Amino acid sequence: MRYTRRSSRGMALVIVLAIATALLVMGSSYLRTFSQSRPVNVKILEKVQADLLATGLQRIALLKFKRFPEDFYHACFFQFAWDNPTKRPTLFSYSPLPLEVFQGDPILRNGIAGLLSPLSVATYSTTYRLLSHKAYTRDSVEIVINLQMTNRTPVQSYALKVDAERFFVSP
Amino acid sequence: MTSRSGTTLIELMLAFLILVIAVLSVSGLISFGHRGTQKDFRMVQGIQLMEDTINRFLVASCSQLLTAVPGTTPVTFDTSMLGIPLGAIRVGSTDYTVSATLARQSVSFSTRELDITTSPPEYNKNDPATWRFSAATNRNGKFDGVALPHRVVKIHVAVTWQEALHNVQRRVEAVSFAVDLTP
Repeated sequence: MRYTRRSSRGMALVIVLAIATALLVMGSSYLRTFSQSRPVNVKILEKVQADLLATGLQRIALLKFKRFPEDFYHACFFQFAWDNPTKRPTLFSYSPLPLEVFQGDPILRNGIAGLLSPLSVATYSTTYRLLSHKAYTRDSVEIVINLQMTNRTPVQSYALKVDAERFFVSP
Repeated sequence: MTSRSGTTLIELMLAFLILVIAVLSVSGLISFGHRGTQKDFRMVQGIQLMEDTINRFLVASCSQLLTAVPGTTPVTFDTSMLGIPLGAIRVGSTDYTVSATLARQSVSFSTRELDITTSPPEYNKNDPATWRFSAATNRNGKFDGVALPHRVVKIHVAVTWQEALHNVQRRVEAVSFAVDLTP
């Protein structure tokens, strides 16, 4: 009977190669983690820029509402009638409609060149909505800024709600 | 007589050489990744600093901002103002430079006013279908410092810092508006 002994020559190389492969796999996974954070940081910057810009634009829109509340209410009620096919005004037709004029100023819809420089913004617009409750004696005015930073990013909406109350002051 | 086979010197040296090459490669990868991570961390810090500075301006009194910018020419501030830290700011081991440019912004609003003076006989204040509107005008809506005083200040904040590796200057900036909403 002959017993053959398995030769262990060459095992050191195999073990080292296995360790080297494991190290390379760990290193490449670490590298992949770092490479994913780079494009995310650009998105974070865009988001912060959009948030701050929208805050400022909402305040400008609020200034207009505070300056011309009666024109806003008249425009809204006319729009409600206009949107209802059975109550649509027939005496007068307007183009643009009063509410479209109210929210159509150049400063409210990216119509002023260089206003937002050095930022380059693809487009933004402002929408006013009247949300009434308590039998129309109490209102919420919603100002929505629709902002698109670049042509590749989606449109982000920023809503600001303000409580308002109307009351009659007798002369 | 027994013979035992083991590892030869040449085999050991070759294995050691391969191990050294692998470890050096991995350490290079990790070092590269670490530098990139630090770079991204500095960018996030810069963004936070920029956001913090603009928020401080938005919280500040708009009338004070209007006072700080007397004319229509934009004014850049490199030193602290109104309690808002500007200029050289050290965060961790990085020096950031924060600057703010303020400018009075003219705004002009248009509306269609309800016209009750030339309304038709069918006019009914409770029926919007009978309402008549005038043409769009800038009726008392020009805050340009001429018709009405300025009410809007444009705020532009920029944060810059230096990347030591390639001596590159990096910059993040944002724009917002402070508005005087007092009656």
